[in-house]
Amino acid sequence: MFVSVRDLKVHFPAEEGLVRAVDGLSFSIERGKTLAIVGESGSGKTAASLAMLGLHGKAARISGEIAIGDAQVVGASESTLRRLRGNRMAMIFQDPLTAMHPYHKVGEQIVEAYRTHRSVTRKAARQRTLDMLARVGMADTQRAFDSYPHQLSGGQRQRVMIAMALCCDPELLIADEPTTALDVTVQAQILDLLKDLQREFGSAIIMITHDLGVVAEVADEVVVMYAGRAVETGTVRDVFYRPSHPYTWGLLESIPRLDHQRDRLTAIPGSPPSLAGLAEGCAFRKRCGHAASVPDGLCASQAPLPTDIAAGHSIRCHLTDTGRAAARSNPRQPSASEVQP
Amino acid sequence: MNAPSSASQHAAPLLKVEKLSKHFPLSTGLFGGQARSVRAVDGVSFDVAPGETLSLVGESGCGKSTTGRLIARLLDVSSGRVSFQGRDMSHIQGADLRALRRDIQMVFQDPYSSLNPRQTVGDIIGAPFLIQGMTPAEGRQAAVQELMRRVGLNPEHYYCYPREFSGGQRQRISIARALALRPKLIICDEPVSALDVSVQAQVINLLQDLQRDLGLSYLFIAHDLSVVRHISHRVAVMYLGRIVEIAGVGPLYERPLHPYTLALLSSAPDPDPDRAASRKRFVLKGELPSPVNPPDGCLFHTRCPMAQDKCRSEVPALRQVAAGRQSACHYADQVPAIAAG
Ligand SMILES: Nc1ncnc2c1ncn2[C@@H]1O[C@H](COP(=O)(O)OP(=O)(O)OP(=O)(O)O)[C@@H](O)[C@H]1O
Ligand SMILES: Nc1ncnc2c1ncn2[C@@H]1O[C@H](COP(=O)(O)OP(=O)(O)OP(=O)(O)O)[C@@H](O)[C@H]1O
Ligand code: SF4
Ligand code: SF4
Ligand SMILES: [Mg+2]
Ligand SMILES: [Mg+2]
Repeated sequence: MFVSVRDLKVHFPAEEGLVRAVDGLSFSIERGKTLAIVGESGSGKTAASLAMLGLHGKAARISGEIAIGDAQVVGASESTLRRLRGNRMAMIFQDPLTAMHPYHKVGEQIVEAYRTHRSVTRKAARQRTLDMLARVGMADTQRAFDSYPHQLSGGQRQRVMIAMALCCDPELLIADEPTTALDVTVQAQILDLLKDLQREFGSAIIMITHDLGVVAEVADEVVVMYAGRAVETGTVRDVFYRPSHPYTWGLLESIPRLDHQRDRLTAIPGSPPSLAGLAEGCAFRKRCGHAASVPDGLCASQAPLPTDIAAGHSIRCHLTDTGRAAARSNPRQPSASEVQP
Repeated sequence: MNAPSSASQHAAPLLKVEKLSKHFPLSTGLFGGQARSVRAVDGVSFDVAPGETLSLVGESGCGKSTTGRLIARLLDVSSGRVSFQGRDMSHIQGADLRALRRDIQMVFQDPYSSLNPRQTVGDIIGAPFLIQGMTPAEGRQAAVQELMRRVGLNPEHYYCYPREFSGGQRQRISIARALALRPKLIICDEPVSALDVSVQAQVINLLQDLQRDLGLSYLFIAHDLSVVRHISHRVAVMYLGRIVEIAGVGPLYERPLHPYTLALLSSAPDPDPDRAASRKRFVLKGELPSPVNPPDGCLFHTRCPMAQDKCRSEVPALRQVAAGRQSACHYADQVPAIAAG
């Protein structure tokens, strides 16, 4: 495996209690493959990706193992991290403006980024930049080079951002909601572009999103996160066609479909928990219709550990195989529950 | 969701919009010259039957919110006409306008910024009574608590503040406030876009229950095409301030008759990996033209893969192309063949 993450934890001490933003995340990716991390707001997706790049500040307590090729990220020195970020991995953010300098031409910014990591002449870097801008589909590369960020549309800025991320041929690209702010038409262009570039360069991609549609479009492997933990991990077909965790069931049943009209959506009751001082037990239990069928109040007292249910397919849930089969054949009908603030 | 009974489709429309336009003037440049303007909404016509949901879809900036705000009279109409229950409402003022505000309400995308943080939930939901200078027969508090029950909030939380509620619950508060005066039409501008995936379905179900029980009509604005498919009876597709296609939801999704509709639908991410991998994409090239300087002829010709010479010079009118269907394309009848590839 090219990327291997084992039991990653990212904790923030806070007044309300320890915030377990990421709490025991494990996954791996091969070169040329795309792993999607899907989860709701606050489930720890960004905290996990910043940890992979070694970009967390001192406040974060990080443990576990992150291996990119033969390099270790957790505990690495700042100079090692800088080298890794330039040469082996790169990141694309949801809002390109946060990653760009507002008063510098975008072309110059890519040249700078490239020259920080490669000892090449300005002329060569400039040529490389123009090539990359063409590669990401900017029509007039010279004009794009000379533009300031605010002169570009949202889709164009995201393309420039991708050009900047890819100029050093990263082996791993981490894309944090790269298309969330874009129209579906532009989103489709950007997702296609990423797929093409991946085919060409063979990079591994971690795609972070809350959109199950995007996951189905791009992912080979999927991690479903809930409250800082990976509740289900498997291939994209495992997760969509053989979902095995009650939260994944809930998500797939609650989304409207593009191809047909559902009679009524089956909503998950309640809302995601606050992470600060999250108590023992399964974080999903207050919204889960199956906790009652697990004996001994286990769901409330013990956090379920990751369990393999098939090769490469694992879940964190106390339901047994038979319990799960029974639960699946008798889908929960949640009451229109009155939820407490 | 069932289509509204044929009776309601033939009933007099609740809302009738005719050639509605809104042009925002741009500040004239130093050299005077012709005053330019943004044609945010440009000759839009449609109607909404009692008990019906009509959705507006299209890319960012195509004029969806402006259309909604014109109908709610939060903006002044530049030209054209909005009739409600047969009466022209485009320029009413004073007491007439206040009466209209009882019948037409709005729910916005962001439940965080549309609620006053210093007011209790009781005061927020009860505010419309105060503004209208009326006291419900059962008393204000009782009426508000009934509304809270209606939208799935605990009436005991009457004295709580918005910050004590989750995003989904805050959207319930906005919906309760919109219901206070028993409106006939609610304009929902991206009501679930800011909500967590697992909470969206709760709010969609609530909106559908309210429609069924109270006979409400919705003008529903959204960019998520799966949500739109689920909630709508009819859909109007907008492009650069104009409607390019309008049809019943099933026919529109299954057999679009405008190339732009086809492009939108084939760009929408589909949460089914096998279908996503096998379907035919119809990815648009290029960027959305500026509404200040729209193209001649068909507004879509700069991006349309079907464009012919005629498209560059002649504006296609929105015309009936099949029973209950209108399209603004010279070659509407050829779209199904293109879709099939
Ligand atoms: N520097 C920090 N200090 C304290 N808490 C933090 C910090 N960064 C993140 N958190 C908390 O960690 C949790 C996970 O945050 P994260 O940004 O990773 O979520 P996310 O899944 O990326 O959400 P979104 O979809 O909204 O981007 C949140 O509860 C957040 O408040
Ligand atoms: N007050 C205003 N002054 C000038 N231009 C405006 C104003 N309000 C809107 N516009 C312009 O009118 C056009 C339509 O805007 P509108 O907000 O209606 O789009 P929308 O379809 O709701 O987009 P989105 O999906 O991003 O919400 C845009 O080009 C916008 O920039
Ligand atoms: S561990 Fe218990 S509460 Fe958690 S998902 Fe499984 S059954 Fe539900
Ligand atoms: S009129 Fe021409 S340019 Fe416009 S949508 Fe139809 S084919 Fe395309
Ligand atoms: Mg995030
Ligand atoms: Mg809008």
